[in-house]
Amino acid sequence: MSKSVSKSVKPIKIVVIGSGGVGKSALTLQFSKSKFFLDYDPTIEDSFSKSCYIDNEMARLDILDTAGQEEFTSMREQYMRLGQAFLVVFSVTDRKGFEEVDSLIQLIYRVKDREAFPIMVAGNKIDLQNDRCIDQSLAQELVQRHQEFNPYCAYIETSAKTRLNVDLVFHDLVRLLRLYNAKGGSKQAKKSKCSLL
Amino acid sequence: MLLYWDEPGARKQWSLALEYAKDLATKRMYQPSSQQQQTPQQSASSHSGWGKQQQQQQSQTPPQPKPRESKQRVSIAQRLNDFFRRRPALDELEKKGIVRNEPVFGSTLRQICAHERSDAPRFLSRCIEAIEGHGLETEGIYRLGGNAATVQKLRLLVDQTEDYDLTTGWDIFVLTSALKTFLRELREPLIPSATFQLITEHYQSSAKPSAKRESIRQVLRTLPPAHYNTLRLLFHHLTRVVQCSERNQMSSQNVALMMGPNLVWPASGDADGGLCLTSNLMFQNQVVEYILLETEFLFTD
Repeated sequence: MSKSVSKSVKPIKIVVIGSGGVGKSALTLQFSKSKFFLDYDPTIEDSFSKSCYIDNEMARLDILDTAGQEEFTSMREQYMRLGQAFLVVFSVTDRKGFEEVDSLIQLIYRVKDREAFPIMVAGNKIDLQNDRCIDQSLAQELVQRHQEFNPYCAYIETSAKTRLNVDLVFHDLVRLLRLYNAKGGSKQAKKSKCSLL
Repeated sequence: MLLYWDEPGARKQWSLALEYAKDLATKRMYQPSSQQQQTPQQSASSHSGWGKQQQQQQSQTPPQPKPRESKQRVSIAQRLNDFFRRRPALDELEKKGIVRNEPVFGSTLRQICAHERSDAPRFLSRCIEAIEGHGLETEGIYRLGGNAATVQKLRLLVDQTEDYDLTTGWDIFVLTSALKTFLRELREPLIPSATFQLITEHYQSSAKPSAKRESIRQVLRTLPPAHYNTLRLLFHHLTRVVQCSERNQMSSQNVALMMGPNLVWPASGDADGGLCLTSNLMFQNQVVEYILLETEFLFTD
């Protein structure tokens, strides 16, 4: 049943990725420190850890917050290899960030050499309703396309500012990972696409 | 895809194999994952190398003359190998003038300036003019990126025409992304790594601030004119960006962090490749920020 000593639980490595300035750090900080930081400092790389009970089971999360700008992508594949679950963030007020989501998910599949992997897609900044340019249905459509072959992918809308769905997005990601591991995800067939032609 | 073969039989076989492979690939891509697990044999064999899969496709292509099959299979693999080997190398094509370097992106500052007979690349001055035309108060300028496809469109335009206008019709984030891409894709970094090393040494030294400033100024003077002038143009622009930091939220620290990797990178032969590491990046940014804050002094004759 549930393990009470947090140290005996193996940490889960979560990697937060997404385009620049979409709120990756704001989400991570809101989740780990329960604060909304107004600083506008771009991230190179930060890591946080947090322990919490999810469905009566202790989880230790090691969260890696990453840089969104393409200048820093040289490090991207390196940390992707270590990640066990991914949070792909975009801002509902930024078209460019949304356009990058699909290629980021594809990159996860490629680096992980898997067709299915635990991925949460978060549409952030939904408190800025007036500036919104990405409809919920548009994001849902994208995730549904991935769900056809990756059952461990889901979409959720968040606001780091108002703390809406912030806990939920991380908890659901852990749930997806648990489901993935329970189904022997890591041993599942590797991807078998032939992209030669 | 264009295929050419003298022998009609081989030609037909190729096209059949390709059709079949295409068919197989599309089917597999849209197969639900549960079905895929049910065919472990199929996916296992496709892992074990391209050649084997080719064989599998061949053997499953229906209208093939059975007795000739194995002989034909070997020869096709062989011919494909030969075909790839026969393709000329890239530098050979460059020599013949078939593959030409892009005149602006992916070139060197010296070449661009010599070709344009300008002090600094015309693209850069036009881009800066356009960005400043949009207004430097835009929040997250140089931090947020532009649409990647549009950036490529701009790049093509700049590479293919000389008389282009960037002041209308381009999003500010596309312009700033293009500017950063231009710097990053130079064949030599704007601040060559040896020069940057020298600046860093002076920056770390315990000399008086005024002496430090003066020696860094002297180091910058040793840069080739194309680099020096471009750097001066860029840093004056970036200083103006920082002056609006209350509106655009881009402090000198933020701008330095965003520009750093576009200005300096280790030489390709550099074994440690140290500048890529996070801790060194932080340090690199301090030096870039220093140059940014001292621009007025460093680039005055």
